[in-house]
Amino acid sequence: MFWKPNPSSGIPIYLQLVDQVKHAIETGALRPDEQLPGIRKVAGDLVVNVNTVAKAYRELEHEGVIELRQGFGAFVAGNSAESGAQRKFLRALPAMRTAVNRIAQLGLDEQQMRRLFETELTRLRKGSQHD
Amino acid sequence: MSKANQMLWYKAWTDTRMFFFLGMFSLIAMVGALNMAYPGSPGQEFPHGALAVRLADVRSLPQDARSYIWLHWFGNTLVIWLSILAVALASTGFPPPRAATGSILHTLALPVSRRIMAGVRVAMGFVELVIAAVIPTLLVCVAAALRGQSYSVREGLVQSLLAVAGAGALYALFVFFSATLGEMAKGILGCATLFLFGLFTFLVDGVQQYSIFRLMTGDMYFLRGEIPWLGIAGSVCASLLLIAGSLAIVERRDY
Amino acid sequence: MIEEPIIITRKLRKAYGRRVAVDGLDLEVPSGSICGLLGRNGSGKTTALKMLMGITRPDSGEGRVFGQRINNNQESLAIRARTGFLPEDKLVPGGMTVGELIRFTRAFYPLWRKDLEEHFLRLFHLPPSMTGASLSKGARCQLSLVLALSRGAELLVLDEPTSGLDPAMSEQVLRSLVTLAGEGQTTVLFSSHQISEVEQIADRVCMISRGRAVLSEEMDELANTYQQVRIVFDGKPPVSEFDNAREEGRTLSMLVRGDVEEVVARGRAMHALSVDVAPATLKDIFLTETSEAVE
Repeated sequence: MFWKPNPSSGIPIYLQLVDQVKHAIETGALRPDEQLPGIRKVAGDLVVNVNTVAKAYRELEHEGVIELRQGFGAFVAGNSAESGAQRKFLRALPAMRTAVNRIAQLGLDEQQMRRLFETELTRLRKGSQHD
Repeated sequence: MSKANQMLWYKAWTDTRMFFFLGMFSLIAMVGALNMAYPGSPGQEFPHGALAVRLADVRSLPQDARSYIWLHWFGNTLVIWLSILAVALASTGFPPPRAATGSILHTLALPVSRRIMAGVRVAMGFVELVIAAVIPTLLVCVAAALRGQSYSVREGLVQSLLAVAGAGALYALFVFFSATLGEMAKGILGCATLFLFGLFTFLVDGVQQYSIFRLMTGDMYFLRGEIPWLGIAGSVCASLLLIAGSLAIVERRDY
Repeated sequence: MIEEPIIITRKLRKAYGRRVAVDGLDLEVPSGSICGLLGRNGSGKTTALKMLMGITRPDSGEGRVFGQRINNNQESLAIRARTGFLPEDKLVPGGMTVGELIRFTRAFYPLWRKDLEEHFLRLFHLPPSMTGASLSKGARCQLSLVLALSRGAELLVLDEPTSGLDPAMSEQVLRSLVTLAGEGQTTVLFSSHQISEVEQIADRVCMISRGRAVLSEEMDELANTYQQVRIVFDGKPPVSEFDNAREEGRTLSMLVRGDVEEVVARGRAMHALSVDVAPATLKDIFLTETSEAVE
């Protein structure tokens, strides 16, 4: 179900997994209340550290995308939370589209835009740390 | 014996069995050769001498089967071959060579003390030495009987153990070399030592009686039934010291 | 409850004559983690691992594994009883066959995992009756792995576990390490020249340069600690104002450890045309932190 994450991409593996799960939910590969594969299974299949998968699952739970049910495993959050995640995504889309269009008009190419985005993401991460 | 210890002995066996078989079967072949070469009337083709035995003593021997066998077997063949075997057994596998790489690391990472590991290996080699001396010797006695002659089994055993006493000291010496020297140095020093032994045995008069080869041929026992306790004691002491030293060195060394 | 690290060394030192192989090494490996050890050739990795196993004795400093001292004969033996070691030279004793070697090694480890032994034998297609001396290089590496990984050991100390293996086998070995650590009973310390392997499965990284640890961190922390910064100037770039900066035309590139905001601010204050911040890959960090500056 999941692609092998790229360890050298600069994006932490756990974040790549978080994105993959979210993407799987959006495309319908994972449905509300459906069980996610176990942490150890995912770790073994993708050959990544168990803690990394655990961290991804914790992050997803933190964002309300999945639920961790004690003794049973990880499940995609029920309807309300899932569509909540989807709604958030849909709401952010226009803001992103506007920004991308405006930056593209300045004549930046895709690589430059990506770097800009990373810079801002880092700034955001650093900023939230100093709280 | 614990499974682990069994395995240590087994490994020591697999490391040394090639040389052991080569040595022992060479000796057994020699027995056959000796038996076939044994002349119909001993008087005619008496051998000339034995290692480290004074010529005068040799000439005074009665020209019978017993002397013949002693001169050939205990005086020459067994001494030479057992010495070679002793050196060979001390040089293979144990103790771990100086510039240790590869396979020795696997063994060193096992939960066994180095003393025990090396000790088992030394012991195995020595046991093989004993067997390689005793069994062919017993065959000599049997072979003699087949030709209608006799060589006392008891005497044979004592003689073979005397040979072992001497070979054991050589073994211990070369174990020590293996523990302390690199391959090149070991080869050179080993040859030099044997040469020195030989030198003192054959060329320097008056020193023959102290030669290790004389201990091995056991002329005192053969001629006068006297067991050379001093020689044995000296050999055993030297051996134990050398072995203990080797084990201590192996224990402390970095690999 | 914070557990004691399974491996902890302080100021470990080992010199061979004039050459100092390990020069005050501080190492910590938490229980249950997969710790990747990175270092250039001759950086002291192998010597350090051998010291942990009691194969080499440190000149000074101390080290403990499972709380046992590495430079004490008896305690070192206790360490080895619970550890699976894979040496750098994957040579095995030549006189015994594959089957005999396995039986030999198995006798020393009462917790031997027969299931793992069989799994690896199937995976590697090792012929049980071939002697150690007649195996190909790849097969020897595989056999060494079987012997090290099947011990049921609480700690695996592996010196370049995937060297000599093709990519498919490497992946299988990494998978086994992930699974073993994931079961919760095993800690893994492995050295590697493949940075991507460490990125892939390790949750902790340690970098050794010239016998000393230049980095020892949780993998997740690295993204916060290290960033690549590129600053473009209008004229000649003030290369001396920035640590470890590379000058390429009007651009300065550098790996920043720690406060990247400060560097960005400085760049802006010097009227930089643009300041770019990007995440640093483990390779970037490795190349920078282990570079030997030419005097």
